Amino acid sequence: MSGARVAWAVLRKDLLLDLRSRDRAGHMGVFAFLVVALLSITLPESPEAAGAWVPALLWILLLLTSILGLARSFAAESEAGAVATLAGVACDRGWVFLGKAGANLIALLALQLWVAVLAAVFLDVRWEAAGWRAAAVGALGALGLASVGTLLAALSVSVRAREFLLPVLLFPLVLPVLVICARLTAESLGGDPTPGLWWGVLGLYDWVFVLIGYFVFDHVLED
Amino acid sequence: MRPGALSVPAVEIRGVEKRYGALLALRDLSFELDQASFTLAAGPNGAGKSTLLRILATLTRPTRGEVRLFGKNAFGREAAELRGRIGYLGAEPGLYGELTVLENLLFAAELRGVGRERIEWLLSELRIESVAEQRVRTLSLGYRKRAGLARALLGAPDLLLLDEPWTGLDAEAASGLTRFLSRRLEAGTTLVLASHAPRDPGDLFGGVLSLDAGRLQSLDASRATPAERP
Amino acid sequence: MVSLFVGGAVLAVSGWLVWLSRGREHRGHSVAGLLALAALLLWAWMVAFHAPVERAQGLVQKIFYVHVPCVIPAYLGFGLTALAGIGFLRSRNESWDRLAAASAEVGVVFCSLILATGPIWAKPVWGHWWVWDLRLTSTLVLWFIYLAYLLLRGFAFGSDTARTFTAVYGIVGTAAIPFVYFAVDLARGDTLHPSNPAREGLPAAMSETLGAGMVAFVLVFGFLTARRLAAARLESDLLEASERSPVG
Repeated sequence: MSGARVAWAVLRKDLLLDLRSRDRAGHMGVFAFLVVALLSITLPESPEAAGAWVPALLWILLLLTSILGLARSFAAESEAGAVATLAGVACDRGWVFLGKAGANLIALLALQLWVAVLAAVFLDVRWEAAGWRAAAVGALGALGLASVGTLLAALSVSVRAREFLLPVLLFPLVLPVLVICARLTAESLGGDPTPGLWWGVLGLYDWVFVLIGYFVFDHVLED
Repeated sequence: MRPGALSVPAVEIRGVEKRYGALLALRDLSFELDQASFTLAAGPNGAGKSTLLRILATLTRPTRGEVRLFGKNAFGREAAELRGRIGYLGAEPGLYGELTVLENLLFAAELRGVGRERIEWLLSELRIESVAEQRVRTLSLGYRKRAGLARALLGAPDLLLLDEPWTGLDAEAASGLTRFLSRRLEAGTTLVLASHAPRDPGDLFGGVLSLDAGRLQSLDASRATPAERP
Repeated sequence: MVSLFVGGAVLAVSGWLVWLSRGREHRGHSVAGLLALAALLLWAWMVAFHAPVERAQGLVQKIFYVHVPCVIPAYLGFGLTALAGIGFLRSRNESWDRLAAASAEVGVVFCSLILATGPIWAKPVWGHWWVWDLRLTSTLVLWFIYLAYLLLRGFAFGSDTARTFTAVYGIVGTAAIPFVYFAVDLARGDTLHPSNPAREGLPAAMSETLGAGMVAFVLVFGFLTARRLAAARLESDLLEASERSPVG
């Protein structure tokens, strides 16, 4: 299937570029480290008071840090005129979106792993108690961020003032991911139980936006 | 070559207009180009040559008008299939600076479903084997242009669109490119090449499409079908 | 009964706007304007004399008749923007783009009115200017999405690319709204707003006044959007005329 092959090629190419220049990973890693350090210094010392805030803060941190990566996710293309290379694929351009979003998803999952380690060390978060539920929340949340983020990054890359525009476009749309993931993460760490419906809504959100991205990307890559 | 396939023009453009905000880049453009013809799109900077090429590459959608390639609507259901028959080299080579020439071509080949032999053939044909392992960012403009050309040619396109391909090439490389293009003619490729100053074109082009301020000044298609040349 | 009138007004106004955006004529503006004016006058009279003064909250409760009816045109504006966005991506007809722009611009006015009148009511009644409750919060997020949409439109003005991009954002933004509503509901289920069953228990005079406000505001929305559409049509005609003149 030529479409899947294109998506896979785009994904591998993006990861190769990331490994090659390490800019994105470096910026995101350092930024996340700094913010976690700031949090651990600023938050009140009593674990009960801080604990309730930590999942929400971590998700906001993930969102802010992901902006750094998403904003760069079409930079390589726009610098070298390679948007034309991607737009010229002999299949539905939606597959290019899937490849790009897949690469961003992997970058976000790596970032989550790093933030989880930092949170365990500096904020005393006990992930071992959370188990697979925290990992599943992370994966579903990352998929939502990656799909909406990739689409909006493609929209804002050729627009004036993109550094400003991308967060303005992105934040209100990913609010549901943030809210639901923060609650589910808190639950997995031993917070209040949440209805199973939330998982369904999170999965539906991911599905809807992957689908929209796939179908509108044909138009986004044109100019 | 099947005679029936040749009877459909490679390019049919009717009433095409392209607007960028307040700027009208192309106005009411209509023409046809035969299959296997070589056409030079000429005109001063800002005449709309690049926009025309991007439209033919299905990268830019015209504000108005109809574009048919090989008899099919370039922005309709068959666009994806058409894109597989088009090779486009824009003003920029369309390559990733941080990847080597070979990695770039492997990526482009994967997008097109093309095998490795063709990459090696193009590398030697365009004389860029020596820089295949170098990152594109470190290459001179001439090499970058040629690597971009290799990328555009990967899919053995039926319609080849080149935007200022001679820019940055030295005299030897320029005439090499001209020789290379004239040989591609035999394969039946339709070429549209935009240049404000074609370097040493010889009798490469059958037709000249001259543009000014987005308008078609003239289409000298007297020699548009190269098969009829002596 | 009231919801029947409101639904009818919404459908009629949407249909009229879509029809207007497709054609070249601008018929029906004065009729719509007069209807909107008449509905506004009736609504104003009902607010002042027909609806009773609420016993617990006093006179300030009457802002309720401004606050709540704004919700309908605010959401209608974004619905039309998304609809027109889909229409534009499918047909590439500029008229859809003009409809998307006009309804977003007028919709955001009503959305701002909700946000402005909410605190005026909330301060004396609940004791706080701002309460993070479900409807207020999701309206704020809706307003942010509107704002982002209009900013994108402003930054990428006029080109085909800009039309495409704003159409895409209009669709994505509207798709996100139900999720926003749900998420805020989950996070802060404790709404201070009266729920719908409670509203059905409103005295007849109150719900009639509310319904009149909804119909009037939908008509005003239609009238303003139609005017904006006509202006947008003139703008693009002007642009075209200036380009076609033989200067270059």
